[in-house]
Parts: sequence; C-alpha cells; structure tokens
Amino acid sequence: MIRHIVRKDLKLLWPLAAAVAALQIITTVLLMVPGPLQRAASIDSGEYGWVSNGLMPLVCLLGLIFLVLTVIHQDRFPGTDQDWLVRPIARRTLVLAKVAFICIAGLMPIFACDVATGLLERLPPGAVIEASAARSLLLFGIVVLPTALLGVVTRNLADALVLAVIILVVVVLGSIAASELKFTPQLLSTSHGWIIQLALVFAYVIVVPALVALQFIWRSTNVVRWLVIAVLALSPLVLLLPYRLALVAQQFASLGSGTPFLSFTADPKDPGQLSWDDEKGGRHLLSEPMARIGIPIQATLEAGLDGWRIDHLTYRIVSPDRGVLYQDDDLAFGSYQLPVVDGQNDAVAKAHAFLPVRIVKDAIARHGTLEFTLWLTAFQRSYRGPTATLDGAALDASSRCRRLSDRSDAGTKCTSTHPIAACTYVADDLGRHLEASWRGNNCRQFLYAPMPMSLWRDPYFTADYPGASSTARPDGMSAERQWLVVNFVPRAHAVRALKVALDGMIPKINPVAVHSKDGHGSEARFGNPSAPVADRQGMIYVVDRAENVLRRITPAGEVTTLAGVAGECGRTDGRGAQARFCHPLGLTIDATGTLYVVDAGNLLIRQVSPTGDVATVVKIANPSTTPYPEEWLHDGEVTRAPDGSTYIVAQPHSPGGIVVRIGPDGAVTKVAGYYDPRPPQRPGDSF
Amino acid sequence: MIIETHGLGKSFKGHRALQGVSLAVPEGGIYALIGPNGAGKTTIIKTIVNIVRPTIGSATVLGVDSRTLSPTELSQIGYVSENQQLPARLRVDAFLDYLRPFYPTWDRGLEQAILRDFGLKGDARIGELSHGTRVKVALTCALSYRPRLLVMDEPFGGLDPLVRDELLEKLLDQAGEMTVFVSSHELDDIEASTTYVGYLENGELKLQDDLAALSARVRRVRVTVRGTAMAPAHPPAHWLDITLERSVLGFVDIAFADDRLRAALAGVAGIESVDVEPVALRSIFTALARAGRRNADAA
Repeated sequence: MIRHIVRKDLKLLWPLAAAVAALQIITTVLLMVPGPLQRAASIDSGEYGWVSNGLMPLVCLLGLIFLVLTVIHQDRFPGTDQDWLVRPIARRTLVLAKVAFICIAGLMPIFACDVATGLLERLPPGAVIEASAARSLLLFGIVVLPTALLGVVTRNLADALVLAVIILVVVVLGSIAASELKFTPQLLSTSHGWIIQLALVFAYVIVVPALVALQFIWRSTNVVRWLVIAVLALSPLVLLLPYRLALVAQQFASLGSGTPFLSFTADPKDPGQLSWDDEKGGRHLLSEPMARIGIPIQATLEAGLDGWRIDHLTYRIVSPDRGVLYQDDDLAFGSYQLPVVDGQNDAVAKAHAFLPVRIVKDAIARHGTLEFTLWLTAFQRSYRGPTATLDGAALDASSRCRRLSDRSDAGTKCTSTHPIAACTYVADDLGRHLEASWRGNNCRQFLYAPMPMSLWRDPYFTADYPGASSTARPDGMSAERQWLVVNFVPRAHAVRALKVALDGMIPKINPVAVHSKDGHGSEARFGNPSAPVADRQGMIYVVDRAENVLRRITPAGEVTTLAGVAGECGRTDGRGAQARFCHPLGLTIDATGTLYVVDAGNLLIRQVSPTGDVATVVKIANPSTTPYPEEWLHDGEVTRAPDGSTYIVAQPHSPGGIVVRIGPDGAVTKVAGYYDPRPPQRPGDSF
Repeated sequence: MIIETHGLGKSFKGHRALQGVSLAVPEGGIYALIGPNGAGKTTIIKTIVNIVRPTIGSATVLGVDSRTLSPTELSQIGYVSENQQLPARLRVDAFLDYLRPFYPTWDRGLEQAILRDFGLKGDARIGELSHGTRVKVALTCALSYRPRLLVMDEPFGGLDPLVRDELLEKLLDQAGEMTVFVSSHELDDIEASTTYVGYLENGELKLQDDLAALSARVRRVRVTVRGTAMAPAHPPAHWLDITLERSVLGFVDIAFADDRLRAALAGVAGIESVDVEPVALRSIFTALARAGRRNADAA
C-alpha cells in the first residue's frame, strides 16, 4: 500500500521533485567544476562565490522544505473532507508512505550527489556512502521532521508558511531577548555543537511522531498546532543543556585513555605536477580531472578509536603576510566538501579532504610559499595537525615529521629549525576544550596526547620533549577567554600539574566562583594560571596573571600562594604577601630552586626564593631594535641562562616569532626569529 | 443491522450537533436520512465512517465500532459526499489506478461500464471537472468495488436535474447489491426506492421507520365544515402542518388511525366531509420541518 501512495504522489509531484533534484545537481556541479562559481573561488572572495557557496545550498534546502510540505498536503491532515479519510488506508501506512516519498524524492538526490562527489574525488566507496548517509540522516532529523510537523497541522501551503514565519519570529525574538539579557548558553560557541544536533534530532524523533499521532487521533488541529509552535519555538532551548551533561555524554562516547595523533600525509610537492601518497605508500600523479578538483589530504587519527567517529575535518591555508587565506570547515548542508570516515576498527580512522588546486596555485604564485594546517575534529574535539609549508624544503621536513609521528618513533628527536616549536596543551577555564597543537616549521617529534576527556579519568602522558621546561603558551586562542596552560616538564610532574590544575578549574564553571583561593585539589581556585614549572622536590609553581600572584602546588595537590596578594597589582619587593606583582607572565626556575618571574606589568624580572622572598633583579629596557616589551610580554615563555640572562621566546604577531635576550643589565636584544610589526592575524583565533 | 448508533452525541465548541441519536439501519435497501440544514446529518455520516469521533455514545458499522474501523471494513464501505476533496491534480484514470489496489473486490468491468455510462474521460484532470462530474467520479469510485454499504452525504446537492437523474439511475441500478445510507434533500426521486427513513432535527432523531409503514401512518387530512373552519384549541401532537382555508381544516397526521382520527374530530362541529390521502415523502419532511420550526419559535 505504501508503494501505491508513493507512486501516486510521484505522479503528482514529479515536476517539483525533479526541480529540487536538479537544483541539488546544479549546485554540486557548480562547486565541482572550475569556474567563477566554484568553491575554490571563495579564497579570493570571488564575485560570484556566494552564489554556489551560500545561495544555492540555501535554495536547495528551501526546495527540500517545500517538497516536504507539498507532499504532506497532498493528503493533508486537518479537515474532514479529504478523500483518504474514507479509503482503506491505515493511517500509519499513510505516514510511512509520506516518509518514503521524502526519502526517495527529497533526500535521495542529496545522497546521490554526495556519493557522486566523493567517488569523483576518489574516496573509498564505503566511506563515501557512510558519510553521505550520515548527512542525509541529519537532514532528516533536523529539517524534514520539523517541516513535516508543520505540514500535518496546517490546512494548506500558505498556512504552513505563515506558521513557519510565526515560529521564526518567536525564535528571533527569543534570541534578541537572550542577547539583551546578556544570556549566553553554555553550549553555544563551544566545541559541543554535536550535542545540540543530537539533542534536536532526538527531541524531534520523539516529539514528531507523538504530535502526529495526536493529530491523527485527536484531530484537534488548533490545539496540536499550538503545541507544534511551542515545540519548534522552544527547540533552541537545547542550547541550555547543562554543560556537565555534555561532558558526561562525551565521556561515554570516548574510551578511556586513548593516544590518538595525527599524521599528515599530503604531499603536494609541485602544484604543477601534483602527486600524493596513498595509504599503501604508493605515489600517484594527479591526473585530469583530478587535478582540477584538488589535492587529496588525508589525516589519520590512531589508537583508542573504538566508539569514536570523526566529525569533520577542517583545513586552513595561511599566508605569511596575509593571515588566513582559506578555511574549509563547514560540513553542514554542503555537498562540496565531504569529509569521510574510513575504517571503524579499534586502531585507525581516517578523514579525507581536498585542498583545491586552484587555491594552492594562486597562493603560491602570489606568495611563494603557503602554509596550511590540517585540523581534525573527532566528536567536535579539534586537533590541529602540523603546519606544512608548500615548498620543497618544508616538504622534506614534513616527510620527516610524518615518519617521526609514528608511534614506534615517539622518542626520536627531531631537529627543529624554528625556535618556538613546542607542544602545548591548553584548556579553557571551563575545561571545555583541550587541544594539542604543534607550532613551528612542522618538524617536531610527535607528542602523544590523550583525548581530552581521558585526562579527567586517567591521565596518560609519554611526553618526551627535550628541555621543555617552559614552553607552554596559549597558542592561537582568543584573548578574551580564560585559558589554563599546562606545560610538559619532567613527565611525572607534568602529569600532576595538569591534574591539579584541571581539578582546580572545575569549580569555575560556576561564574561566581572565587578566582583565587588556596586549598587542596578541587577546593583551590585559579584566575588565569600559566607557565607551570617544577622543582626537584616535585613542587609545581604557576603564575596567575589575572590575580597577580605566584602559586605553589605540592605533589599532593595542596595549593598555596607563595608571593603576592590576589587581585592587587604593584611592584613592591618583600616576603610572601608583602610583595606585589602586576600581570606576571613567564616563570622559570634554576637548579637552586630560585624562581624568576617576568613581571610584565612592571617591566621587571623578579626573583623569588623558595621561601617567598621577592626581589627585583632586572629592569627591562625599551629597546630600539626589537619590539617593545609591551608587545611581546603578553604571552612570552621564559628561561634563565647561567650567566643571569633571561631568554624569552615570544611571538608578537603570528606567524613571526622571536627569541629575546634580556641581559643582567636589562638590555633587550633579539637573538633570533622574525618580527612582523603588523597587527596579529592568527589562524587559530577562531578556535 | 448494518449501522447502529446508540445515544450518539457530538459537540463542537459547546454546540451540540448530535444529541443521543439512536438509529438502526437494516441491511439491504435504501435508508434516507432527512432533516433541515444544520440538523446533524453530515455529522452522523462522518461519525459512521470514523472521520469524526463521537463525544458520547457509539456507532457500529458492519458490526464494528466506528472508531475502530480498519481497512478491511473500509474496503466494504463506499462514501460519496458533495464536499469530498478528490486529488485535484490527478487524472481520472490515474485516480482509479491509485484506488484499485486498495479494494480486493474492485470490478474493472463495472468500472468501465460506469465510466462509459457517465461519459467520463479518463484523461481529464479531476480539478478541472465540474462539480457534477466530480460527484460522478466519486460515485464511480464508490460503486466499482461493489461495497456492502454505500454512505452518501448530500450527493445531489447543487446538481442539475440531468446529472442528478444519471446519478440516481446508476445508483438505483446497483442498489440491490448493497445497503445505501443517504442524506439528501432531493427525496422525490429516490422515494420510490427508499425503504427506510429517518428524520433528524436539531441533532435529534425525531422519526425513524420503514417507509411503507411511515406512508401507511402518515396521511394528509382535509376536514370540510359548514361555515368557517376553526382549529381545535388543543390539537393532538401528531397533527402537523395545520392549515385553515375558509371551511377547510387541513393537517398532516403522522400517527394516522381511522378510529383515532374519528375520536379526535369528535369535537369539531359541522363536519361535512373528511378526506384522507397518502402523503409524499417530501411532504412528510416538509411538515415535520415546519412543525419543528414552529416549536423552536415557540420555545
């Protein structure tokens, strides 16, 4: 019976269904075929790029919505004069027939276009089908179901559109009200968007059948439509899902202490003679029409992946002098990009993306070199891969890095040509995001990082960073956020430091929490701790730049204030609470256990004894040949040389980085690096 | 009984469209449900085919509670309504193709015969057909599977006489095989075939009977008196539509019995003659409707 109803609807609606399918195909073709409308054009903010990247996908979406409403209204629900009411058609049969029609006429073309795109890009067929099906399912849950809900409670299409506008107005007014009330949902602008999507799908999957059943049985359209308006208008409330619930969900989704990493295997040596390595080590030349499409980039996320799914993959291209040229990170509702999950075994999952050749060629022609960084997101947790530079020398380094990223080579040292290369783990003050990032000219040994949630349960590190006593810095994070920076120092201490710090920051989910409070473990509070260092006894020291204090953390997790007074800014020397700091940043420790603090607000280097005696040892002079300290002291990393010199690794503006020496007399000289006086434009700011 | 209702009631936003209607439609024959506009005929019919759920009471159709009618029962029920919304963009033959699989008893030969008799073209879009032709399509769809029960809600409303005759002719051709439950104002033409009649007014079933019995007990009475006729001070309740024309007292007696009439007229002086004649169904309906309206005005 379902077949007969579907066939009848197809007879009636094939022109509309064909039009919607044609729109989808046209959009896909526009995005695939070189020309002014190709997605690649967006790098230059092309004149017509918005058509294929914005307008066409939107039109496709509206077409799908219109098709859903139309097919529902072929046998509309409200009213008592419809022919189907007296036919021997079970009502559930009718509903299933409508669903089948939507799947065939609405979602199938989208699915087919996605599959075609993936296969044209030479992606594994199984993975292509899986990823395409996942997108279709998402569309079904978030678009089709609520639209169908509108359809079953409206008397005609015009009625449906009016109702949609009412709901839109309610949602917009709600958003404005929330904005006016300075209300920011916890999950908004975090990395937990997938939870919102899942919650919506889950809610709709429950609510839609319930309301449809109600409409069938009750047949009291006015009541049900008010319920529908309420449900759809209240849908945004999923943003209010408790953050902790999200964490729990995420924790369930992960499997303990995995040690994933990324290996970047793109090998675009020469954009004119493009080639890449396949999974089995074979090298392929890009042939037409492949070369017109893009360079395949493959990221591999290994180990502990049982139960994980790669959510999407982002890559961005950064020009040394123009910042972010291109970023592709939007999976939703676009067939132009098709990140694909391949392999569901315990060990390996791979994601694929394409770097449009046109962009590569244009950028290299314009800038000579081109950096690009691959980001992989698993369950919305982002990992940034090594930054590669598209020229010959960098390619060699990239290859070496790839070898070293193999787990069996974890301890192998790798020569770095960049002074800032470091491995940094950062988390925001809510613990919402923990990120492994690799800076520098891409060749560092790979540091294993546990999945963020694993840290909470079973910290596991095998970090092996030579001399990395003070290299942590918030890399590419937005300045307005509070970030906890955790450094990898001698292993055991690093683990402890991380653990204590994380414990300490959990209570900060409560916005009225005290920012600085001594105590044990979770009782302790930090404002904005950074630059942890360890002494020989296993004591961890951090400076709290927001609270102007130097804190000490015992191996048992006892947190005390060694010097300074929380919240008070000053430059007084003295013992413990008599002393004052103003925006302390860098911190290092020498063999005797004496601490050196870069007191950025006072432009001083302060010496702090293990007993908390604070003395000024260096006044930093404003140099004429290097950036002013005010420019780089905001995030500098510091170490102390035996001759009393202080070296600060700083990055005034991305991607330039410098090493500055502050002599015993306070003289500032640049040791190495590149300084770009232009305003910062960091590729990672949006993360 | 192929249809039975027990104390059927239905309210719409406080308005009681049906009030305790208990009707019984025996299998076979044509049951005509008559009543003025707004009496509740359509509501009863929609309740019977489970388009509308009763507020109180119940209806049994083909031995099944109307609220639980399954496709099995619905495939034995034909339904034609003047307001029936057929898929406007489908062509007639496509609509028939669509419906055919739902009815195991569909008779293609009969379908073709009806189409031919009605002069319907298969390639015509339903939405482009006239109202009368759409009703023909609906009737074709209903008759082609030889339903046990054909329910018709005002099927002849707004039709010109020619179309109405065609429909009636076809309906009467098939009527022997099924039970027809019809509500209509156009009773003259089906009167000859109607076997049962029910009269509905203000949501209440006022009258229900076998038509032969009804015809036997409803008579138009004309009493001629010497001088000017006067209406009795307290006429019997079963005298309806009382009229006075000079020396003639006329009324419709809906419970006619010779001796009872004689007794009722005993108080009337100067009777010259009493003429008693059968009443057409339409006249019965009209008399009942007028009486109902008068009662409503008096109330």
